[in-house]
Amino acid sequence: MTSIPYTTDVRPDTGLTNPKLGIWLFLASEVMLFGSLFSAYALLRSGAPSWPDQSAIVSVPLATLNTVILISSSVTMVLAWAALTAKRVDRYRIFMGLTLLLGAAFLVVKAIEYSDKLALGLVPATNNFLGLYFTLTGLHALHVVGGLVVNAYLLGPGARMWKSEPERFTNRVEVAGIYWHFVDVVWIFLFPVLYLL
Amino acid sequence: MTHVRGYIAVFGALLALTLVTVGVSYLQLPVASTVALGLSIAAIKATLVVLFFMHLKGERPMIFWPLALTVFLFAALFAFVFWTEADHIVGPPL
Amino acid sequence: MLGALSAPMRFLKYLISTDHKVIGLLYAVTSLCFLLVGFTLVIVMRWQLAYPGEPLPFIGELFGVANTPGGIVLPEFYNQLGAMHGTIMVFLGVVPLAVGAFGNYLVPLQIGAPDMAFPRLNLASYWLYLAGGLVMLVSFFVPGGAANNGWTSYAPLSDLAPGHGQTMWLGGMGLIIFSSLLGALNFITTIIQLRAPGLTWFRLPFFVWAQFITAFLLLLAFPALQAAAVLQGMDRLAGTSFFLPSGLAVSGQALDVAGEGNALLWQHLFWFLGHPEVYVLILPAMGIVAEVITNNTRKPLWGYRLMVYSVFVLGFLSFIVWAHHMFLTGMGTTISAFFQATTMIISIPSVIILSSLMLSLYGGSIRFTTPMLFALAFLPMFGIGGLTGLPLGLAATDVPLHDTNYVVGHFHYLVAPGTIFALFAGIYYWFPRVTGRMMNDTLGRIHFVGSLICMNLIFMPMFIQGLAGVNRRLWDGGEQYAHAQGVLSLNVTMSMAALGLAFFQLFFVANLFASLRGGRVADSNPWKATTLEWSSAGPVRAYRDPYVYSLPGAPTDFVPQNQRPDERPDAS
Repeated sequence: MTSIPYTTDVRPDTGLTNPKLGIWLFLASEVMLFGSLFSAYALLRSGAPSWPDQSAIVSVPLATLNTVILISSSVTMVLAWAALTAKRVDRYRIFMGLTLLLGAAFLVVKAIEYSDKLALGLVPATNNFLGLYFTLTGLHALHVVGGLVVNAYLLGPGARMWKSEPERFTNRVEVAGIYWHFVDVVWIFLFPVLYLL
Repeated sequence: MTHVRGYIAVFGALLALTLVTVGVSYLQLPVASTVALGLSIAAIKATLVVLFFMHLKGERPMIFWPLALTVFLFAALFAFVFWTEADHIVGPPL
Repeated sequence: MLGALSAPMRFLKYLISTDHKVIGLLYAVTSLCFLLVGFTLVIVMRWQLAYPGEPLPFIGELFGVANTPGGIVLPEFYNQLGAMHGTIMVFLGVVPLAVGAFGNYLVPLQIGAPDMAFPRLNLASYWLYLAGGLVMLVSFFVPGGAANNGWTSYAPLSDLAPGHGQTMWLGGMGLIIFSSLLGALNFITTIIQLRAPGLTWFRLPFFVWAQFITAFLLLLAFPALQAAAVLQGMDRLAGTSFFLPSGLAVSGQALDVAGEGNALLWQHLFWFLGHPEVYVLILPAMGIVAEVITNNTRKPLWGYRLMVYSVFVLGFLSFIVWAHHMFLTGMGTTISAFFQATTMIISIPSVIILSSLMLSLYGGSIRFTTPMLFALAFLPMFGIGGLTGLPLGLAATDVPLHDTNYVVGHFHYLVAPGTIFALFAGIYYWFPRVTGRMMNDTLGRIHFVGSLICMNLIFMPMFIQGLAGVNRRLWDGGEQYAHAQGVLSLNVTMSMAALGLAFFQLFFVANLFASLRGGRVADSNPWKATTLEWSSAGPVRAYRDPYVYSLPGAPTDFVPQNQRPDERPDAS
């Protein structure tokens, strides 16, 4: 597998490794995916004769908490990478572990939010706002799950690569981090759009 | 570990901006202002994350060009869908 | 080592290989099978169009009582055939062959790379594609059958379609789209990062440029359809009404949904993908034709740089023309003018590329090899397809032509004697590279002449029918409409020609199998080509432009890209 050049070393004229370029390209497609859904929200809301008061239906306090949780997990993620660049595997494990905990906490809060709605009989079919709310946050939550799976791998069995190819492992954590930060960026937009506007 | 102080500083800014955006929403401003403010603050937060956490500041041109194209296309999709459907939008102004 | 394994075990090894050549061949075999399935579907459709209500001979009863009672094609089944013919041909046949097979096999070779940038991701792409395709095929067998709302699945009809077929279409598309996204980022990374030393951007074969732009189209356009599929999935499964307007009634019954949705939202998201998708269909074909033409004229491509700039512009513009599929949805005149303008402008780079390919013939020492015959025919056929698009791109002339058979003729000219001819050219051309053997020329020429004639007999009358006002997607070919009576007999012509087309593909299939075992053994560069996929193995470095043919003063009429400046060419 490492017979593919520029997997770990940068190609001189582009200054990039393959995984670095690859993850940004993947994120470009994700921008278009969530962008399409935001466009759908904007069109449906502006075309609707009436639109519910969003903050009266969904919980701003819970979502604010989740925003803080996710931003914190972003910080711990980048600190995890920074620890590896400083060759501090012990710190890496702590920060990556924190990232996983915070990510899981985000999903727990989400689950509480969802069950609160369902208990009140508020389902996606109730109106387009709720439909969009569940769809957008649900898709986002799936992306969180994906990120957690990758991060768990990098904390667990994947961490063995630190012994054999530390630089390649560090790059992997950076690339996973870039994905994780993107998931945070999507939430940064979802939060005001779905809860505050 | 010199980066770390920078990351903590960005973290602080993000938390502060989160509080600001929630606070603004309680001000019950007219809808257009709420939308503009909310999205602007979100854009600033996102920019901080992208530039500093995702290391886009100081990244290579080969990354910028596909991203710039992406942003343009997202804007085009958003704008043209609206522009095309504008005549059908009968609801009360936002 | 592999020979020691039994045949089934060897087959399994191919399925888990991360080698780009193996994956390319997996894509090739799978996509050719899907093309055959898609073609069979339309043969059944064409029977019904020629002889509406008459039992389908021999195989009619095979489709079951729910679809063809007494061998007669039911309208609902006809709609399934139509929707799945389009879906299978576009998403499971042509693009996987053009990009997954040709792209995967040739791009690393042409840029001198050891493999794609992400070999395991490459294999995952194939598996996702296969899974999506299987979901689509299985959907025929669920109660209610496959999706039957056109390949475009417009809301609200598709939202409300009973049964699971449409839902499986959405799921299948989800898998296919994910496959394409991973593949696209793989191609882009590979081409940017893994070019061999000396292979600067403007020394790349045009085929690689075409794949590069195609990958960007796939990467940035497909997510819109992915989003739309998620939204429609929610409508169908969770009872949302993203695409369902208020007050919708079905069979007199008001729908019990929240409403306030927007059916046109589906169209926007679909066509944001749909339009770039058709450039995904044509760009790799242009790339193949360019390679075959320059090789068989023994001279460099005319206007190579111009073609590269044009394909960039073409790719970019393809993202901002999509609403020309929606001129009849009631948009305002200003926005309509915008999309008409961009649609007219996009014809410029298109024509530049076509003209450059034609001008490349001038002064050439033309060899009428089998691949060259297909490549040459591509030129006027693509010309017809492109020119017939012009009245569709202008809103005023689109009004009478939209949703008629004229449109069907237009895009089939581009895909069938256009792209598919280019893909045939590519198969005949690169077959010796893959197998070490040549395909049979006589069979190839019969395949060519028969296909060319039959395709024109099938698709040219569609313009006539469309101009007479015959709607597309009519299960009886327009039999019940007074304005269609004068052109109804063309349905018989077209259907007979379709059977003829099927007949002539037998020559191709036979040729493939026979040549695999008994074709004339070829050396490593039987076409005397210059690009890197024909060079022998070893560390690769490029020293010159891709198409150095007939260089005055050179000892041979071609100089391979990787031949060292001081080296004499091989004597063959």
